[in-house]
Amino acid sequence: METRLLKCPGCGANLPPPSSISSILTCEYCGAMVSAKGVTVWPRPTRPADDPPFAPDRPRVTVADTRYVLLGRLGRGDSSDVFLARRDARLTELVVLKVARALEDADLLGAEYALLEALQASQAQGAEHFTRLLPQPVAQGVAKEAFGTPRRATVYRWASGFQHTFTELRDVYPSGIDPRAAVWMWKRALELLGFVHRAGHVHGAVLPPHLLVHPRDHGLMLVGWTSAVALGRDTPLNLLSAAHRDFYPPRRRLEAPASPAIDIAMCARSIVWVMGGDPVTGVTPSHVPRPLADLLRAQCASDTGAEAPVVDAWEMKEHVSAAAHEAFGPPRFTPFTLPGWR
Amino acid sequence: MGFGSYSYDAHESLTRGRAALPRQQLFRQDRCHPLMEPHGVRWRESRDSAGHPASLGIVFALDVTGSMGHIPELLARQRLPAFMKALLEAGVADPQVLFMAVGDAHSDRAPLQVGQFESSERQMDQWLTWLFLEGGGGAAGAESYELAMYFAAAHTDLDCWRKREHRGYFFMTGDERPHGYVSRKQVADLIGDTLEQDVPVRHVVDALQRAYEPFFLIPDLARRRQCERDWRELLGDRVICLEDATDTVDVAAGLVALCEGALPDLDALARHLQRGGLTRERLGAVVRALTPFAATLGRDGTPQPRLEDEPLPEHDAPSGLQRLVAPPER
Repeated sequence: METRLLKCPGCGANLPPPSSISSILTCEYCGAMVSAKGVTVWPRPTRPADDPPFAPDRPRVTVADTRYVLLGRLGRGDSSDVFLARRDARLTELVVLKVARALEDADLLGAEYALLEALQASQAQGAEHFTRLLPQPVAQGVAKEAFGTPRRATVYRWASGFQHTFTELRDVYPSGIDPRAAVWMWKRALELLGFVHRAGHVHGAVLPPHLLVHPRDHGLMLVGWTSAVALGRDTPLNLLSAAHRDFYPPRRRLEAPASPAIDIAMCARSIVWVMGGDPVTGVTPSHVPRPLADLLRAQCASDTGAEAPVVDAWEMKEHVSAAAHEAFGPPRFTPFTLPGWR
Repeated sequence: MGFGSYSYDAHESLTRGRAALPRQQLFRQDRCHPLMEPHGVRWRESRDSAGHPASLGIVFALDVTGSMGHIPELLARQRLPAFMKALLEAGVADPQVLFMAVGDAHSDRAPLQVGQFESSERQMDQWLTWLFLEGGGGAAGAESYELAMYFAAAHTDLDCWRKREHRGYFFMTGDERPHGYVSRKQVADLIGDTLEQDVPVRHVVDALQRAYEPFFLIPDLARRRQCERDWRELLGDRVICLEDATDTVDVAAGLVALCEGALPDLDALARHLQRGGLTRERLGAVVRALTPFAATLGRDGTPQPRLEDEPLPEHDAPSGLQRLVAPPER
């Protein structure tokens, strides 16, 4: 095919070569749209320039043909770095960008994305409510910068206010958080897990860095879905976070097919830890009321085989509510604050 | 257009008497009203005038297919005065509202109906109740939203934009996806414009957002999953998922108030709505619907997340994950 240089009929600027004969080009200078045949299909807009770019000094990165402005790093996972970013356009979208730091784990990002898409499409009871508390997939692909290695990346919607992990909570409250706050976090986590299990999956990594808290609204989100496995396939967990070995049930339990009990047990261990206790033994500080302390210790001990663990998250939540009622009386809203929050 | 003054009390009394009227008496059209035919319209204009020196053009493009038809009804019966009142209270002095109706150009008789920008309650109400609620719609999971966006982009002229470089607002309600292209043939038949070829919908959005702040409102959470993703690709965080269609008006007014900076953040908006007598339940739903977009503006009332100024990782790093099962051979 003969190629010829197209000029914009609006302003005379050179246009890039069209990818196909039926494509439509947008003039970079005046914004007119021009068909590959050289005819204007959309009038030149009355205003030549768009709004000034957002934060022009911040780095840009492209995933799946969409360019994002990197606003900064939110945190580092076991094998990926997580950034806050926004679509580099006036009609923008605030997103979380997850980029593989360990190249060998690139496959995990793709699997996680597919799983979260499946969960978003789930028809399990409560899906309308709970899907908003799971990462919402936006795009996946290879993150390309002007320089540097292309890396596997996934993009999720940013959830306003969910910006503090359990790990950060423990940094702010080194001797442990208020047990009343731990109760609502535990209940929110169990409700969410109840939905996930009903939707046919086990999270498999209910660890402090994966539990995100909204302090004002008493909300909780669950991130870090790379270890998740489908229920009923008789497959055991296939990934372990080396830095959080203490939060997993004993090896013998891990080799059994993954079941909701694993999530429930890991959740209890995370709660023990965020209250200032020891996740392995389940022992909590002395200021934790007895009914709660007993329930937590039993949950952590049950993994050693002493008694059958609770295998339903909703049933577990009932136990938590009963223990909290015994410890604190009827449920009451108790504010929980973190630095920066009013 | 846009002459006449706005009176909340007159508007209230106009809508109050209708609570018991059946829909057929409120919306009497059985076809597109001749004055709402888009064909041959050159401009719909929102203009400044002596009475309205600071006009702000606002388009309400309402999906009138199937179950979406109850939103115009809701507006006509009770909520439109509340919208106007909320705007006036939020410091928008001279709002001018234009109503459009959106159907499906493949199967409906009147897939696009267009009113005029109006400032007075009586005229605004007249265009709204002239809408023909055809109630049809396509079968393919898409409606002709792109035609409404095309019309607003190519055939409306706003003084707020032209004189003050201040964008107007374009609200569209809907529960389906847009078609991927504006059909050259449909544009010729319905509007009378000659296009060289079909125009991709994202180009239409590009053109629309030059003079408008566009928003797409999905009426409830159950319907969000059939169209949210497609709309987000086009409009990003300007896709607003409501929990109940009755919140449409409060959410739209809240969006204007946040964008205009009339209210500094969501906390201020919540206090404002509470003073206005909104129930606790509805207040929560409105705030939840607005939160993601407010976050984009930095007005969600939460502290900035703690960010480290780090670039993307540069080298390969060891994984902190231990594989209990060997990864598949690559």
